Amino acid sequence: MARTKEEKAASKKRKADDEMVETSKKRRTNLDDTVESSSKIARLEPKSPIVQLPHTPGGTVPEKKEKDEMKKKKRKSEAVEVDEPVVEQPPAESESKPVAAPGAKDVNVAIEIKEPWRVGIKNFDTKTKQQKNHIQKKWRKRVKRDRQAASGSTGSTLQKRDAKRQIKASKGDVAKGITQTSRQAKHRLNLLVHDVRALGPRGLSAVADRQQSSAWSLSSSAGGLFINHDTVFAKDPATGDAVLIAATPHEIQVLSIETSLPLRKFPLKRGISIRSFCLDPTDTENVHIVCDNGLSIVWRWTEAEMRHRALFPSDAQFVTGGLAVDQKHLVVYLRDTEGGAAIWTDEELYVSATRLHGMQVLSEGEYIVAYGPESVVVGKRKELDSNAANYVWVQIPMKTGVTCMDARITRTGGTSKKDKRHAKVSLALGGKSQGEIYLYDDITSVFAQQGQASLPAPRILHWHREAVSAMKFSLDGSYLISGGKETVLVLWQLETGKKQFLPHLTSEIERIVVSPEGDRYAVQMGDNSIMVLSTSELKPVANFAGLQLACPVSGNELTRQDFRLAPAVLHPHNSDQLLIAVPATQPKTATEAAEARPFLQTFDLRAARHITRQALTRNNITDFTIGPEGTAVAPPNLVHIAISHDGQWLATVDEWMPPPSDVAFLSDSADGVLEERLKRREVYLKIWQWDEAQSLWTLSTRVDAPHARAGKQTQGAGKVFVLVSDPVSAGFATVGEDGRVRIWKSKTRVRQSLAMTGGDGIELKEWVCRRTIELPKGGDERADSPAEVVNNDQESLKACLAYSEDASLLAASFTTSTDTTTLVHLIDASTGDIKVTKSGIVNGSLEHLGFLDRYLIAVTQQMVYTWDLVTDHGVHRHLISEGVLHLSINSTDGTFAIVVGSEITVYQPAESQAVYKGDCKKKVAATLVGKGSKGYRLLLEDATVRTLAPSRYALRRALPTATAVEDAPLATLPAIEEAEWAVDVEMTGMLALPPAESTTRGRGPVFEEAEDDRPVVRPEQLASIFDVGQSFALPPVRDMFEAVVGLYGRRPMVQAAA
Amino acid sequence: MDVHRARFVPYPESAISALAFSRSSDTGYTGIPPALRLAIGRSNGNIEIWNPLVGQWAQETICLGDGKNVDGLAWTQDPDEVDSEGSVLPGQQRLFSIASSPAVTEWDLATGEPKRKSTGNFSEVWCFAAQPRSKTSRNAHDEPQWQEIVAGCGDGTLVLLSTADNDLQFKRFLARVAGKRARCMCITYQDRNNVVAGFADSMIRIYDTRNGSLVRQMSLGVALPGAPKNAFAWTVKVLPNGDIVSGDSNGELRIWSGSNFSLIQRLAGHENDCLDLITSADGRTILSGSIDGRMAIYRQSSGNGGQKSWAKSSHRRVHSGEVKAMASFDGKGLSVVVSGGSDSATKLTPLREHGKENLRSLPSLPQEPKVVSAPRARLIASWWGQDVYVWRIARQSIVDSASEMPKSRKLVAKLSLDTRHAIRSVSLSPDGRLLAASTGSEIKVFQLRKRTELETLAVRKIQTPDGFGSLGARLLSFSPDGKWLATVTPDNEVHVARFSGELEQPKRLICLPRVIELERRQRKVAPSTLKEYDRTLVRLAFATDSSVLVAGDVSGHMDSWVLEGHEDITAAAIETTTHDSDRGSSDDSDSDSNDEDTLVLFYGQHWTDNPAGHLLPKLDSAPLVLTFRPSTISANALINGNPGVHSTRQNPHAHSHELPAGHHRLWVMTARHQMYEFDVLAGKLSDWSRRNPTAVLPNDFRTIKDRAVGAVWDTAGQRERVWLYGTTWVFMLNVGADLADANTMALVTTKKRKRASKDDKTQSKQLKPSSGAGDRVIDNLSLSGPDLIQRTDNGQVVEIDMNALDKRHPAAHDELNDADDLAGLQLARLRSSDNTGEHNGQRTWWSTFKYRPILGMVPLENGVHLGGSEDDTLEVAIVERPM
Repeated sequence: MARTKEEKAASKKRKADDEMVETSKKRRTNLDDTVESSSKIARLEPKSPIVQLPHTPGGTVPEKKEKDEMKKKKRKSEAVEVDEPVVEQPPAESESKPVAAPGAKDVNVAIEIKEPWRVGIKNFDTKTKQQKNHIQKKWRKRVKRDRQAASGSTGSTLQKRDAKRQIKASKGDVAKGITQTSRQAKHRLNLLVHDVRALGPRGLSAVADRQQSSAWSLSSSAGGLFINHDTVFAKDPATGDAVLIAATPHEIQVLSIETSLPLRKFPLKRGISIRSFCLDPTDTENVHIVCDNGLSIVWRWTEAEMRHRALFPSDAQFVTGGLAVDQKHLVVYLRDTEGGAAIWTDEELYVSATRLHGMQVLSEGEYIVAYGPESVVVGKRKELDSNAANYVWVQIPMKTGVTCMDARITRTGGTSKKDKRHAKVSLALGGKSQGEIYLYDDITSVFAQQGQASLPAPRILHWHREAVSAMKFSLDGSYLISGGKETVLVLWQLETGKKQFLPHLTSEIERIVVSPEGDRYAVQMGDNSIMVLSTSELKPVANFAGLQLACPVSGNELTRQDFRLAPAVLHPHNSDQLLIAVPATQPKTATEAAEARPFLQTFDLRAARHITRQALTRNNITDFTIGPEGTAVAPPNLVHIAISHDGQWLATVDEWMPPPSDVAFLSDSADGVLEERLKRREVYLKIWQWDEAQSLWTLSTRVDAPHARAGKQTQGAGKVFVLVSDPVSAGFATVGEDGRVRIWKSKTRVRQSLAMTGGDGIELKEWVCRRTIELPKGGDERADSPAEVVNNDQESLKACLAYSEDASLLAASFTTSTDTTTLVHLIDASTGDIKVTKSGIVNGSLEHLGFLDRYLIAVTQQMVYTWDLVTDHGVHRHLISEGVLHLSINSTDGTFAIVVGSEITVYQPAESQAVYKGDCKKKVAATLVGKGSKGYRLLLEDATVRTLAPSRYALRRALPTATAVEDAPLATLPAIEEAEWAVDVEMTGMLALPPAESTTRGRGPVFEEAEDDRPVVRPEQLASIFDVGQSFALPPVRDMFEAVVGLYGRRPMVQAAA
Repeated sequence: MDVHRARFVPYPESAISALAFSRSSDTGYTGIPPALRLAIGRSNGNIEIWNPLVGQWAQETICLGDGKNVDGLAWTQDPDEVDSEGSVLPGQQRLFSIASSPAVTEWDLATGEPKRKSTGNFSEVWCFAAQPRSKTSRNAHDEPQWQEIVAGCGDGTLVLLSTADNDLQFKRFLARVAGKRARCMCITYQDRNNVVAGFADSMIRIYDTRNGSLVRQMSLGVALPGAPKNAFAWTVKVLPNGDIVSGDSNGELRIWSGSNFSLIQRLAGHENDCLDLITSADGRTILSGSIDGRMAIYRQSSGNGGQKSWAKSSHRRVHSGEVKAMASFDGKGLSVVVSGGSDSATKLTPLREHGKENLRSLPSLPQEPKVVSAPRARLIASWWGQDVYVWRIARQSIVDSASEMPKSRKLVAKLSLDTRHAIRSVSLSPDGRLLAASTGSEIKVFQLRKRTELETLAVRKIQTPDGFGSLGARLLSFSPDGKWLATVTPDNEVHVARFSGELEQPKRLICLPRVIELERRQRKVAPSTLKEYDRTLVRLAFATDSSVLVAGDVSGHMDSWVLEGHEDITAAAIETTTHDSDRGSSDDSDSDSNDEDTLVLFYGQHWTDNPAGHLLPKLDSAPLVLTFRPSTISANALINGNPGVHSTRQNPHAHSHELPAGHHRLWVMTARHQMYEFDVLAGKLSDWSRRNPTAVLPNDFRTIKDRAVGAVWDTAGQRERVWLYGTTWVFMLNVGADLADANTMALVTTKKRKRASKDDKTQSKQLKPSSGAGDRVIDNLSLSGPDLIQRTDNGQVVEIDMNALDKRHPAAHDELNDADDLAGLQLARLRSSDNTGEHNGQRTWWSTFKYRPILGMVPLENGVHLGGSEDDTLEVAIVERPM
């Protein structure tokens, strides 16, 4: 039988993949080593679990494998030359595939730093079928349990739903079958060619990198901030439900007001963002979208499948509907010109010499009102009854500045068309500086004959203290609704001048939209949420909240780098639940007050839903926040968050310093002012207990100034550099600028020698500092020069702290810029003794430390060092680029990730090459690792979330957007972008393949074996190593150690027996 | 110049409690409208009379009260009379006040004293209002319609008072509202017959004054939570169309129909009590003031459905305390709201040009300095109430050199006069030996002597001749040589008393027992609605050689007298002679006067009218600064008295008629800030003044809004400088030389009206007269919208000047007196501002605004070296009051 085209393509792909498979094998074997050594550690500390099993239906890929295998078998029968490196396989499956074994040993030898003790170790993945079955059963049980424990009710239902969807998708894919894979291959090829071309001289090595990384994949981004644009009320014609159409930079969302859930999304391709959108005036099922690159799109939002067509006006920045010309309705665009702006539709209507930001069309184009920061432009259609777009324009300079505008047309006599000449256009403008609203009762008088034109003085509505961000007339025009930084919605009763307030909203108001029926207000707020209020009771009807990550303010790149790193953790029970420190409102200025993060947001990454928000420090979001000097009052800033392994305790560290203006009178130099501020710094370590009944974190203990200041300073609290959580028991450890490590543990609260109990009989806990470990100073020369300490106490101090996976060890380092050597101390976590102090691990000052099974990972600004703790040797060094660094370690898949700026690199400790390299385009604010899940969650600075995971994990994480990615823009996007898109498509296609039930047949992942693979070491075996004679005659320690390792590291006896 | 910044004078300021314009607009008057004055009532009972002077705002006189808070002020105007020739004599304007007592007081503006009080069987008057003036009827047979006054009392009584026949009499009770809360809070006339009154029981009632019937009552309803149970109307006003506006304790403004008395609209204006409100003349603007110091403006516009509706336009915090009283004048040229409250500053808010012009604050310190000094004795004295305080200022040199720091000033005397009335004026002789103080009914003179051991002064009262002490005086002035005391009585008579040492004890000063009255010149004046008030003397000045006395009055007339003859110590202290027949040519028309027949000679000298006095012109407005330029040539006193004057049979009391020698140049700054210098004895402008008309004053001076309070001369060495000061500024003019160079002079004098060139456009914009308050607002702060809009039609771009609309109201410029000079002045000022005060190498002027409100600036002398050497600097004490 002749080979089909598909097979040809497949073989092509295979060739291309050859090299990659090689490396994947290499990685696989390394992984084996990892597993082994970790199991050794586990034996030393038997109570701790060795590796967390992923609580996922992990068998999706194996099923594919099976299929592939079957395919292969078929092919084998047909064409023998297609040999064993056919299947692209994720590394986790290595044990389940004895076929792949042969190459492994060779690879093992090729490890960069040769370690003699390792040679003796054999690959031990030969298990009997029965054993495998046995283990699989256990595994399945475990998985089930884990799933129940970890995911809440919503999570599980969601998972179910996702699983269903997966099934559906996979079914489809199965149907598509081979065509799909061939297309993938084509894409892969394209990609390679493209890469080679792009990389040029770097050539093949880069390609190799790229190939290597293909096992890991970065999901498309989810979430994001709502753009600063009026949302649109619409009605779903199918269901009649009211919906809200809103946009993030990447996608348009149709939000259901009934359920507060997104109904549909229309994602744009990466790299462009949405500027403006509006409903089509005639067909409200169409949304006109204008992007920042000038692309204009019409999307039919009502249909489940996406239909859109691209229009190509260039450089439109704003769009609004409602112009009727010659019995047809048009949309009006606003476009930036050089130094000015132009209003145009089919043809150009007006060119303004000043910038314009927004526009409004009144009464089917009878008037067009546009505004910019310094002027208002009003256009009046010339012939009243004709429909031609013939306008008289008046540009009115507004010296007070305009931040927002709303116009409204009223007819004084009746509503019939004849009375149009009595139309009255009311205009409300928000002033720039002091919060005034200028209300022009009627601006039609500016169109009067020459010499008669006048503009009566406006009414000034002044309640807001700062510039109003949004205002709208109510439907009947008797109210004006305004909002701004004061977190108060003000309803101005225009007739009487009375005001009504809706105070204490949780964040600044950014946008207000009145529904076409006038019964609802949509209020977009500074915490990236949209609230829909009913007009009658001012009660919230729906709420759409996004991730409230503090996005950096432009122009603040250098000064406050620490704000780039968002304190965030994933909940240990549910790795989709994100706990993150957020500001009250997205900062708009680079001030301490604006950027402080006093709140904790709990956010479900998977469903992209906001869960709760809670204040963890004092804050003044609803208070008057301007001090007597006119400076904003800054709330404390949460700098560290850690959560205990059981999710019951949350530790936070917040800092506060008085503003410079408050202490400026005490000193005349900038340094002196800083010192005065430091003397008044407040630092609190707060430990919170989860209150299940209230779904709140309740404060259990507050530690004032957990660390003292560096040097001999007694006033003020010292900075806490690192806060880490004990990975196995409830406990936290901190290191501060005083060079001490403190270990915090809970104890039962005792009163009169009786344990105190809470209302429900549970013993109350309080937290105390169990151990204080003073870290020795690094350089000798500094010990006797306290003056230097004072000088250095700010920028130069650095400290790192990390728990080992079993919490037995604590690695700490404390360096100053004057230190010549960097010391890393290994501390026994239970006794607090410094067991070892190492000096040669790194050069330069340490940024991060971490344990990944037997390796210690140390990161400096230039280099990543992997240090094998068992052999006490450096294993690898990786050069990294300069930038803001994150280190995160995933012990589940045995990798660690270094994020520098927007680039992410994933390493395995034993490998010289990075496992994955990628660029997220946006700076990464936090890299998070869920307990027991593979891969990394990346919070980007634009409040989007991406997941980096070994390929089969990526899909599950990215599901909310995956559907959108699948079908939408592929066909219509310009060809240049196709390659990039293709990555995603390929990935999703591939990932979507295996159905969930495959776990039943599939082989379990590698770790299940690690679980049971405890070789029984008999005493006499040990004795045979050590009882060799007199102590002077003992073999070298290394040999003895290797012998012991050989014993513990060998294959289990059962297996050997089999 | 050495300056002692004296902040220790605790001169009290008092809050404003009532304001009233003598008329609220120009409408309803035919012919020349009556004089416009603003009366400001303060909590210490004083009533200040201000002349708006088309936006220049000068305080003219102060009527001293009895310390009781002035609760209300009202002006009336008597009906016009037609004299025999058929010309209309405008009726007199009269001022009434109430002061928490059951009486309505009428003030005699000419004397500054209460004229009469009308009281009756009712409790204290809380509010009152004057009936609108009836239309002047041409028919002489008609009964003249005198305005009535309605007063609302604390017990709910409404009283009608009649002002008929230049009297104030109880007419009848209009109504008595019973009840505990029946206090009448505010009252006004809706028209000539109906009275609208707001009561504390949250009712507004309308009465018909003709029959006393209650026409209608309207309820304000309950108050906001937290306030007393009943809301009450703090103020009611009537719009020109008859609609009633009320401001209540909820801070709301309510507009009631004037025909059916139904509520038209409710406006939330303030967060606190709305205490007062005013309406514009066209009835389309309302301003209200509240207890928190904010003033809100409301405008009428067409609301939904075409009917007119009111809407609050904006508000602004104008006062630091409450806004207690408001008054408005809305006429041609002047359209302004005046408000006052507990922060004692009068604020001017533009009414017609609201938002386009700045607010302005009028000084709360008196226009006439309440500080005098005795330079040679280094004493300064200030006074208020019944007390006079005298401090001695230490010499600068002593303060500097002494090892232990002596106090730089010391309160050396405090005189508490045993009088019922407040002190109106005090004068110190330059040598510090005499102090005179006067109230409206008394004049007291004291001799001050240094005690040998103590620093304080010994005060001895000097006996004054009968009648003189009980005259009372509104102005007092010792002559520079300390021998003469000139006084102006409340009735504006000028008296002069002579002081000399006792024969036995030359150190002991006495007042010679004869006091003479100096006759003022009779003038034919245009009929004025203020009648005698225009003759009120406001400034008094002695020449430096004490031989010339000048007095200026409100209308700008000046009277002057000279001292004839030479002092003859040997002559009798007082000689009386009959009418001097040999005065011959200098004899005036007043020969039939009896008083003139006897002539009193003091040591051979006697006062007589300035022979050239009739040549002195009328000033454009009241003089604010009246001072003689110190003459460098000292009149050498003749030791032998008056040689060649011998008694004869025909002339037993021979006396010299020799006029004082030397120049007597009177330097005048008027309320309009016009500058003149007269040679008094020649009756003409001095040469300097001819060369330096007002127009050459630097632009910096022209832009000063606060009026001049006084002046100090600096004539040491070759300098001839005058230091002018107002409450906020000090300005030096070098009057020894010309202020401007010849070119500028030429420009000014030709007064050619050139069309303003393009460059001057902005300049002219700035110079555009305001409507009575501050200058025009700088563009980008203006609340009123843009000046220029751009209109695009068919690709044609036209710029439209929104201010071109103002051309429709050309009347705004009419009353400006010096409008003619504008173009010329402008150029002159451009020049003068170019050279920044440098002219011929000498500074011609210098100014500062760095001082706190200045109560007064008085000269001091070092006293060590008497000769005016070059390095002798002027030493002054500037008495400041905290903001």
